[in-house]
Amino acid sequence: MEKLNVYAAKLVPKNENFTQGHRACQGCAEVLALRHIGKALGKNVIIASATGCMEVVSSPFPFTSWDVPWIHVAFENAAAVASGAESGLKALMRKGKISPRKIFVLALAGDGGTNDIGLQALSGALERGHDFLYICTDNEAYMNTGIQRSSATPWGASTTTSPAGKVIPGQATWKKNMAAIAAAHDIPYVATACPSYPFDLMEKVKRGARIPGPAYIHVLAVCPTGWRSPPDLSIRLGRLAVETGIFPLYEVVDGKYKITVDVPELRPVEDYFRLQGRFRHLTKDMIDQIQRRVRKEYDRLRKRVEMTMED
Amino acid sequence: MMSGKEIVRFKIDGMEVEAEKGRLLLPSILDFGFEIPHLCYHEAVSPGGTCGLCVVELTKDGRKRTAMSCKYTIDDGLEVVTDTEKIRRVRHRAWEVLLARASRSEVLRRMAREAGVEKTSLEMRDDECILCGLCERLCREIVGANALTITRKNGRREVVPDPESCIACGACVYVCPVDCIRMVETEEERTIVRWGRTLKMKKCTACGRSFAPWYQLEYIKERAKLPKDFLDICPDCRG
Amino acid sequence: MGKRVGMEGSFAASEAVKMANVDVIAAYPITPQTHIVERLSEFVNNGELDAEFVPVESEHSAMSVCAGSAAVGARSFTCTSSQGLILMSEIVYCTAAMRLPIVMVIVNRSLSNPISIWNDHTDVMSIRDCGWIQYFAENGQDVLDHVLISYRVGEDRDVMLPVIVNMDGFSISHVIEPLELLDQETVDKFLPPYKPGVVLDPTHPVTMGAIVLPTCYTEAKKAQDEAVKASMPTILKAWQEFGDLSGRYYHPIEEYRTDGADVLLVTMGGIGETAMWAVDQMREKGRPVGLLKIRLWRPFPFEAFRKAAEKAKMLVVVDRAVSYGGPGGPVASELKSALYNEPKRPPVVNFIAGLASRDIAPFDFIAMVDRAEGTIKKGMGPLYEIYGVRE
Ligand SMILES: Cc1ncc(C[n+]2csc(CCOP(=O)(O)OP(=O)(O)O)c2C)c(N)n1
Ligand code: SF4
Ligand code: SF4
Ligand code: SF4
Ligand SMILES: [Mg+2]
Repeated sequence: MEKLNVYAAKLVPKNENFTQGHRACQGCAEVLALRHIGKALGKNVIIASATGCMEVVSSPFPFTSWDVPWIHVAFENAAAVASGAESGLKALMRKGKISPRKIFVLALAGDGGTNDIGLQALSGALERGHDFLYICTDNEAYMNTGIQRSSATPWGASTTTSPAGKVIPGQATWKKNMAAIAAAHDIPYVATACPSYPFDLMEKVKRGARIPGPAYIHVLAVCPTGWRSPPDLSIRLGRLAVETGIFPLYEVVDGKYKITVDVPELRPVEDYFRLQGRFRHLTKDMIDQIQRRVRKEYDRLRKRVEMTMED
Repeated sequence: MMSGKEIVRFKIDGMEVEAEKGRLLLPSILDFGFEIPHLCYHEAVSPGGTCGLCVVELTKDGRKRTAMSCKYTIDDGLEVVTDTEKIRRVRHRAWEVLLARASRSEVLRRMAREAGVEKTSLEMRDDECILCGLCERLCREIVGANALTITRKNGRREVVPDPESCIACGACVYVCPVDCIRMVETEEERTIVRWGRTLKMKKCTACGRSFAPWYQLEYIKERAKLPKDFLDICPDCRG
Repeated sequence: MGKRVGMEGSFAASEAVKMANVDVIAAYPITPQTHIVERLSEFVNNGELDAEFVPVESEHSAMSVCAGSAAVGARSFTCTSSQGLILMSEIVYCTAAMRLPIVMVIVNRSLSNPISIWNDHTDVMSIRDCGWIQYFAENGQDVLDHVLISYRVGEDRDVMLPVIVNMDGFSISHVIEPLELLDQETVDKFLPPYKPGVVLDPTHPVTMGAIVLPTCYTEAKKAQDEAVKASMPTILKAWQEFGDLSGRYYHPIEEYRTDGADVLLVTMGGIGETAMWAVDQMREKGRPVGLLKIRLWRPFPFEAFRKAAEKAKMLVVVDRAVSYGGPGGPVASELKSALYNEPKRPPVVNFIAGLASRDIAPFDFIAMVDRAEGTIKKGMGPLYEIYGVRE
């Protein structure tokens, strides 16, 4: 479905719950992901957003891009606010104070608001088993505050707090595997997605929202401003992240792994790095090192798929 | 945004709601979070009313009746009830009909089981297809390829493909509610298994990777009146 | 009328939460607040209270859960102490600005370091300017009544603000006192079910917590300040009605034996009851000493206070929190600013006492009054004194 297909695209819901007029940068794939998420979830959702680019660009008072109920409280607590909304709805429906019906509760946060400062609130909410969907839109740094590194920044990437210096050449740690951390909570649904694969993304969002209990989706979102990449290449970069195996697309349903967009033969990671200024300083050695790690990780993922396959 | 459209008020299970006049009832009910089973509906194509699951009870001007919500348009003062003993009976029967039509469908059986229907007392047809007709409507209304027709053979309905017209776009694969239309794709060719259609894949002249069935590209060029070499390069390389 | 029982302050708070038929409770245990959460969990698990109890992983999340639940229109409750309050403080400010009528009981405890589980007011004073309505309870009955009053006031459409009920750790929270439980019918009459205004509801989408640029920020803050000040008439009306139903009438400043008093002791919270003893003893000796007990801390009852302090020749203010290197305890600072522009302003002598539950006995109050009189005779002394420091 993800190859060129003009007609399937016409089947995408027409309603826009995340509407025009937002102030994201040109070519922002994070905001594109919100549009897809909005389409997939429909009208019947309550969203709790964390502080970050998406909150700032979507709600400049007195304007809003949200045509669904939306709340922002702080940076590190989207999962807790969503827990509260879910618990509130549950109690009010049980006590007959509002009509019983299915209202999806979605928590939205960036990689900073998820992997780092929001990890505790997220872990708590996943563990408590609230019926909600958490989506992390990962642009691999704190973009809103000016491209500082996060634990989701990939090894070697240059950011304003992990600059490519003479002694330390950029981010010195490997990207934290947030989807695996979510999966370790034994929740019913975990997935990775990318707006370059919109059908895959929307299907996963629908699935994650419908499954009772907590669901987690980690969305890679190209940020031309922070990645120093041409704004018209955001979709291609997302595809390259998948085709190189750097960001594989998979699902974990009740503990069973499944690759949803398989790449039988991985492209060299260099194809992906070439187009981004944040990796410009990488040496051949460093790229080789990353390539080895990507292969290893991809093989590990394949093994997980085999190991958890139904017999 | 609802500007410029007439808004009507109506009730779903006692809850007061507002929606655009003339909108179909089923999608409106779903928007408000009420669960109604439905298989043959898709917002992009005209409603079929073939699966029979989306029945609701309607009260208008004091008169009560049941109706298929996918074919009913909203009007002012309507009262909708989504779950009654009678509705449950009608839906149960509808599941049984579907189970009989598609006795080989594992997907359908799972859905029916979740709805509390395990078996059917009707005569079984050896197929995976529930004859909802969504693929046919879609291929005609959206794709325009008219590769599918619904016919009656020996008093039985069937979806009959015209493989020559099928452009292997896969749109029907995407919408089939019981996933019985499968697509197999390699670098070389794409096959829509159920319709017996196989088409060679076109390779991008820039990167060499295949990106769409060649006949589909020809079809798009012809319909959109594009230059002959317009679709030689894949969207990725086009940038 | 209600039933008379013996009950500790924590359980009184829990009973009130049950009678208020709260929908969502989110709290994290910390001494000395623990008895409240434990009792509430029992109520929920035994089916005595139909609510969602969200056993959060931190106080920060407790307040965040309440933000979410209040935003969908659920009556929400939390409680905490000390470090927990400081941890959640970021969201305490947010919920007030978002006008979410949550009720929080703070079982007051001192702040680390050194770690101390004992009682004073340093925790709540650190969030003094958070924008919540804030009461100080004097005993268990007061706690019970004020949890109910808080929902009534906070949820009033003219108010729409969160409310804090402070109770002293241990000396109120863990002490069994006789108190009256209102019957449910009376409570229901006083506290109708919550009818929220703007909520997160898919049928009427709203955006809450939008980013506001400097062009509107000042206006937003002005509106918030006005809202807190404007809650006063609703508070007074709620107290009046509560009094009519229960026979217990509350006031922003409670006066005790102030007639003809030259010296007024001023307290806030549980030590007020001890101070009454001290006043009785001094009065017996013919000393013209009275007592003002501050019940309402925010909005601060300037008018009531000025009126009460009008005739006094001196105020002796007992604070239970320190402002390091600052002008003295928070209560004294407040009273001084209340009086500064008045034509007749009595001198204010400030003692900081009772840190981490250091005992304040009646004779301590008497000693403070003695010392204050000495200070005044010698001309003004230091701005404040930390009382009872062992040499
Ligand atoms: C408690 C707190 N600490 C720090 C900040 C400053 N801050 C706001 S947004 C942000 C970074 C957001 O990064 P991320 O979550 O990755 O979202 P992005 O902007 O990249 O989409 C930071 C550090 C804050 N608002 N609150
Ligand atoms: S900085 Fe990046 S993530 Fe933020 S709006 Fe711009 S492109 Fe999007
Ligand atoms: S794949 Fe063939 S049958 Fe299916 S929608 Fe496309 S053209 Fe029609
Ligand atoms: S093939 Fe699928 S979409 Fe087409 S009629 Fe059968 S069930 Fe419906
Ligand atoms: Mg980020």
